[in-house]
Amino acid sequence: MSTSKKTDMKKIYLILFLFVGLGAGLSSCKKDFLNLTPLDQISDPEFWKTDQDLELYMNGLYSVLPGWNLAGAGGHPLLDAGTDMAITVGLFLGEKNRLDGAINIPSSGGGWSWTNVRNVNYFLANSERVKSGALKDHYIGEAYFFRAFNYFNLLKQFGDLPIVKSPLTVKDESALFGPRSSRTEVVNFILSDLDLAVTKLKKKSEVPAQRISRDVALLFKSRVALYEGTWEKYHQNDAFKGTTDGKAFLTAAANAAKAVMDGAIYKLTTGNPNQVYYELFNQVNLNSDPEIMLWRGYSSALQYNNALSAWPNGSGFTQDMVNLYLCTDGLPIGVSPLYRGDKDIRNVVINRDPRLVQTVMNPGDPITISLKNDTTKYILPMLGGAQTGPTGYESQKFRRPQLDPTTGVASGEVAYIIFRYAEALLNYAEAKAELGELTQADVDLTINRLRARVGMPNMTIASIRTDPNWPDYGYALSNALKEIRRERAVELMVEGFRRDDIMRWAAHKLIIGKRPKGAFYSDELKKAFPNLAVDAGNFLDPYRTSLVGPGSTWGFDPAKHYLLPIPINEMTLNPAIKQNPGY
Amino acid sequence: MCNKFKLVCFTIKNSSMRKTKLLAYCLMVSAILLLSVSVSAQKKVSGTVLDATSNSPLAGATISLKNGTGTSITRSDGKFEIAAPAGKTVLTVSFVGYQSQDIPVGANESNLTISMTRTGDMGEVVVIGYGTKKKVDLTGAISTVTAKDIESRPVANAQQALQGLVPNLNISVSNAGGEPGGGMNMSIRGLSSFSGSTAPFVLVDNIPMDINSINPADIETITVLKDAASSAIYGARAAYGVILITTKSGKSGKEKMNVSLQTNMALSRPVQYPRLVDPMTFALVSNDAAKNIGNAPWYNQDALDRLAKNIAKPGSAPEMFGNTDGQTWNIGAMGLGAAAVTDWYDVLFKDFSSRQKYNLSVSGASEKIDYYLSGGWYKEDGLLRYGNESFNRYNFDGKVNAQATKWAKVGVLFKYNSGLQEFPWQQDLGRGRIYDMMSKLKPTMPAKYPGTDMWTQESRILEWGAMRDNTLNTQMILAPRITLEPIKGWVTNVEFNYTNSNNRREYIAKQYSWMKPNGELAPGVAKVATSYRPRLSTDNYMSPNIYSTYAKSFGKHNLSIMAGYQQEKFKYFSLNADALYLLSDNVPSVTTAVGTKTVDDGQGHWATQSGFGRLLYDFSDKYLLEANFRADASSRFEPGKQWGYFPSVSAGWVASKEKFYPLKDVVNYMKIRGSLGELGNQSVSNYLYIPTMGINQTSFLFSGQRLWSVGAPNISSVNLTWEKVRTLDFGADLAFFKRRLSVTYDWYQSFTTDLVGPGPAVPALLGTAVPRENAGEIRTRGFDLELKWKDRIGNVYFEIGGNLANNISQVMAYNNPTQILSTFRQGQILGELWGYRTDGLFQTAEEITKWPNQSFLWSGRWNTGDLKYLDLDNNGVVNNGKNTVVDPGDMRILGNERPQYLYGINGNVSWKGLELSFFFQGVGKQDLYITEILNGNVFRGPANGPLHMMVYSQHLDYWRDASSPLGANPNAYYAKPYSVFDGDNSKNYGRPVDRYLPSGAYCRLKNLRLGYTIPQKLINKVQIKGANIYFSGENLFIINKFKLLDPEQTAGSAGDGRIYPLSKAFSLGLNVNF
Repeated sequence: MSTSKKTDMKKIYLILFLFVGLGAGLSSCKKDFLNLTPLDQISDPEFWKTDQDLELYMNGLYSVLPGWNLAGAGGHPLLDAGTDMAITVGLFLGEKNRLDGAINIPSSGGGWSWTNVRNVNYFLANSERVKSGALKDHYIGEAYFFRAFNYFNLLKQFGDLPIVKSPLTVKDESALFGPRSSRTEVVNFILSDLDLAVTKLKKKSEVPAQRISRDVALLFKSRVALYEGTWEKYHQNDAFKGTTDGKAFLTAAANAAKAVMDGAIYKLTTGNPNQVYYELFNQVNLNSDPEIMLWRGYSSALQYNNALSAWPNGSGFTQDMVNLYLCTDGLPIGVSPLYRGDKDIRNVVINRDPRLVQTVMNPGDPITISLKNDTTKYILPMLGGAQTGPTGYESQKFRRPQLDPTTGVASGEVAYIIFRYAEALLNYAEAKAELGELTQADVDLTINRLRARVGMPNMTIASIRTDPNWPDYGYALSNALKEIRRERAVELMVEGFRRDDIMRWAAHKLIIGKRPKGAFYSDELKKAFPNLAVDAGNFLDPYRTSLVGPGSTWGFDPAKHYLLPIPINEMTLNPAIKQNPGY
Repeated sequence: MCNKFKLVCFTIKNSSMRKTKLLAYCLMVSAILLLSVSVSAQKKVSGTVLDATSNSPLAGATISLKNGTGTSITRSDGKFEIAAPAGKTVLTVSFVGYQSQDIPVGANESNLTISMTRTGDMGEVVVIGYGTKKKVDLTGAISTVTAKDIESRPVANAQQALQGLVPNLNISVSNAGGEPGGGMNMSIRGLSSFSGSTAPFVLVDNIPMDINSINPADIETITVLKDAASSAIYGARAAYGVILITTKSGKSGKEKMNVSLQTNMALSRPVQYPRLVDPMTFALVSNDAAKNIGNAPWYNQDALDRLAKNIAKPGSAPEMFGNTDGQTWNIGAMGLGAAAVTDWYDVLFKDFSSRQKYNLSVSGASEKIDYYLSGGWYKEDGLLRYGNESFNRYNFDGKVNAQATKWAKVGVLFKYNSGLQEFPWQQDLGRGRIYDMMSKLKPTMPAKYPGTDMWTQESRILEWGAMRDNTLNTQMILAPRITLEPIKGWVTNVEFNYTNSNNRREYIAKQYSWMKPNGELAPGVAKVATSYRPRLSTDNYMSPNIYSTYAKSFGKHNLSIMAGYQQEKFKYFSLNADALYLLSDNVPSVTTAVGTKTVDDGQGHWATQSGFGRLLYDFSDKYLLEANFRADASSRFEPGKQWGYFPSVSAGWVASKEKFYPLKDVVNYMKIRGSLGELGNQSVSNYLYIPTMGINQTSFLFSGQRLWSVGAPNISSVNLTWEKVRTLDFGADLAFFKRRLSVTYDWYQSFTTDLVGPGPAVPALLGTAVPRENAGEIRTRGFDLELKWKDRIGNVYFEIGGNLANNISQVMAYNNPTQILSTFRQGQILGELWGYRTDGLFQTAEEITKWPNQSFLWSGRWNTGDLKYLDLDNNGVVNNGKNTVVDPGDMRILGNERPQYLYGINGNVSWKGLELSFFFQGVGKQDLYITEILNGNVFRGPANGPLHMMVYSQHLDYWRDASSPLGANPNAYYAKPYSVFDGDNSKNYGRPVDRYLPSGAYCRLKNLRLGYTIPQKLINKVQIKGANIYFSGENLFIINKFKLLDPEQTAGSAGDGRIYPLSKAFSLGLNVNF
């Protein structure tokens, strides 16, 4: 190496420049080289500016509303499957577990989820940051509705609950590790949220279609109050009781339902008595239906289809369900001369409340109506497979025979009804009857409107005929209430009310020691589907070995199964939380 | 002189090389040390080339003149002659598998003896972070792999080639399974985290890259840095180890251009795919499962009769019926209840599929310039007969280096790769579900509609053609390099790395048809639902590096110091579009779709800044010391928490160099090493400290539209900072029996502290995930062992080696005062499985009533054939107590699902031109927990819902009583199967139980290769320098206990049959050098 000192210095300068110029320069020319904020997400401080932000937030909360299983789920069991009214087998056999008492104590989860409540609380804690706006109050009203809605879901499962009104952080130890409030306090909290919702929400005509409006909150209030009113009344002497006799809740239920009725924004859908009921439930779009207060839609165009088209969805009605329907003379089958027996599935619907034939598939009903208007007809129920209908009574309700014009197969777009006006009528009648205040005028306003729609004779309180088959609820009940409960079951059949009704009525007598049965195993059925299990009376007996109770009867334990168990981990992490009775 | 784009490249004049022994110098330095040189002044130079280990002659070595023209090749006795100009000259000696050497030849020299050292020997130089080091001077835990170890294997990528080669570099099959172009999971030394990736940091020529983007044929060496001290120089990214890959480059001093061609053609087929039992047995098992749940039989008498007829005489009875509506088929779930006889394996899988590999490279050098250009093409077809799956990868690697001035060198690296994966896809379910759907096909399901040549919808074959998932990944790397050496020993490197990665993925759903019973064709996808869904993403990575090294020797003291600066910035941007309703299936595009269109993007960035330095010192290659320091700042932490400081130190002592060393004859070489260092990890999500609100479309339709919605943010994770990994390592390198046996052993202990994980468990009332915090500490202890025996018997040279590694990770600290088992806890061994012990199956109803209450596990009915769980705490109830360590009820630790004792065994034998090599890879111990719902479908067979039910021969060992047509089997392995999705089956399979934790240990012959080097005299005539032809087999056989599934493939979602099977491949290859 023979380089002069001068050149050496030049090189050293060059290297020093590289270090200083490149190294330091690269980093310091951009002061915020390391302070990087998200490029595709909105951070909380940038949100909460206008009431459009409030709408954006609320849109997401609607996902908690109930709906059908989506396409790919293999079907959707009937909503009351797993009760005395309907059952399911195969994929959805587990639907029976709640009333069968087949309830495992989980380590975590098991329905004890507070995400939905937190989502609302986060909204309520921040919505005031939005200065003002025409719809600001309305969205706050929606939030109170959703908090009530989420709390009611938890209440039905667990009874007593911790009440949280703000979005918790891990530092909120007193709330996180606090005890549960009594169910009465919880329901008062729900109702106060709903009262706030009612004052803030706009009317149906003032908000876009399919958004929560004031009357929805009112109807929901009557549902919650009726639930708790009857619960506290009929569970007064067991481990699940509240702290009142339920009267105040029943009054609230009646008042809220009446407010919906008096508002006159909704009314029953009317039409041909032999079609109107069936057609109410298999629509794709219910925006213009006067009875529908809130519904959930599906769309082939958006590839958002439901799985309801997989009929019979492994589900079927029980013989007990069929027996519930009155004859067209307004008399129960036990006393009506019009009754044609149950030995032939064609005959069971004859001379019966038209809602029966519009709820149950009957030979000759269309199964599919193709795009060319060719109709295939229902001949016999599908039996004998684990995915077919187990009972011989398949559902007509929610079944849409018109094939989807875009796919040429059954529609996966049938709407899910979340709230409809008929419930307000039934809630009002039942609450009034429970309070002992039911008048014939009340009946005419409610039950008789529902009956009139399908051409059934009126109910008159003074002359209710004794039904030898009235169910034994295990306690005394007025004849009017017995018939109101029948009417409720019939009108709201497989709309998801039956299990809740059994729970709040403390009606375990309806199921204990029993097993749901299907249709009479006629020679015709036997020929088509041989070797099916039957009971002593030759009725189909699909649950012959499926139920947990003695002799394969419902395994429901009235000392335990009215509520679900609290997950083990929750009690370990928070000793202030105690297990529900019986577990 | 600088022979390639090494991370540290010193430009040094020849004349100054002889005496300097600066530690950080390149390859040539060590090569020279191994030479014994004698000089003569003749016009002809002659000599002998020997293998340094065995002293046996090497035939076929290339001798060339460094500063002139002329090449010679050694004869079979190792002798050569070459004409050389008078005066001093330099010879370059090279041979495949050996270190190349430059040999200065004096004016008067003949009968040179040249000892060639095999790569992998002790004399080797290895690439370390920002530099190279002689292997003898290493003080950390470092393993190396050379081209020879991975070449000639019919594998797609470097990961597959590396599996099992390096102890404690754990490479396992990922969820992609064996799909063409699929990657694998990789981790070093079992280092664990509560979250985030523990994948090692991979650098190719000092550029961060995906290891699978590299063409294995371009790889020259791979260095795996395992302990903290070795990887410390990479600081922020290196917490879980570093893999340094150096690609080939032009050999300086070789005037001639070298052209190398490599080809490989392979045939492959699934290595293991379970085969269904015969249709009649399947039907009877299905009926048993239906009976057990109280259902009607899946196959009624009529179906069984038809099935029997079709088995006796195919086509003699109807295979399937339409439902009465004429719209749908009555075939239960995927053919359950139908009466066809179909061997789905034969229908769906090719007999053989093909793989092809081509690589062409041109390299060479002149005095001022060296270059390497390489192009490769790899094509692999999938295993499915009708799936049209394929993977095509193109690689280009280019390097040009110029000596600009005596003290400055400039160069540029250019890398390009593109990989195209083409697969069938399933709308809603994705690509991965194809094998899931296949596992559901019943042997009684017809493959074609009755009386037609049209595939049934369930076979999915028509759907596969219509639904496609095409992914094109391209990456371009541009990396200019400047090396300056103004003063001897002081070298400054300026490197700039720019990487641009683009990913284009398109999902296409076209129309296809299936046939209704009434003969009409029905669309499998509605016209409105046909779609084109492109996803485009582009990532940019920019990183300037500047570092400067000064090396100096004072007598026997060798010293080198280095300091540097690095910054990185990474930015990603993606655009995703969904466009529905294709006007024409032939032209799927966003523009030609006329339905709903949506678009969204993803953007983000992160950046780091780092300063680093290193001190190397050794005394006479005997006492060795290395110290590193690195400071890193990352944008992923909030301002104020961004900087982390990571020091490390390591030292070594070559005892065998001491004069007093007494064991020279037994232990020929002994080095003892120790290192301690700390590293940081920033592998947490970007922006965790900022509360962000997710944007989604609603699932609730408002007037037929999905509206946008904004959701609540999670609780932001404030105060997060660096995870730190502190590793202590002790190692020894030993050689025995005249260096024929070499042993490397390392013991290590790593403490990962400030682990980023979920904060302590709180009640679910919180309603969201607990924020992440620097919450805990994990200790990992383990060892790596490598053995190698090299020897020869006469003309037969052989080498056998093995490696073994194990590690155990334990949580040392975690805030979990209740010791609840739902989260981490102090004392927990990672991978441990808590579950129940069992005592066989119930045989009588009486036994059930007398047995402790099991209703906690299953509140429904217990039957004969169900599992008997042990009430270990004798309280009459089988439960999990409080689900804590203190009160786990009847739960116990049953085993550990992490693979342990991973090993590899390799060897080769050569005789004349023939070479046979083999490579086994295996896992010594592992408990497979694959019975859980969702993942355990294949394991549980008939104990599934009807759709997921399958029956392989192993499943026939299930409990049944005498009422089964298959006869009673009271002492069965499998419990009573129920034909329901989870429900009753969760009694027996819902949780870990000792009975169903089969061993995952296996030993697999990964590769067997027979090669032949064509004799030089044959090919010299056709101007070929060397040619090698070989046959190679991949995954040829396996030894394992658990036969139902490939034990390599049972992890993760493998157990449910969703993942692509690995293949067995047979290949023929040719390597030619011109």
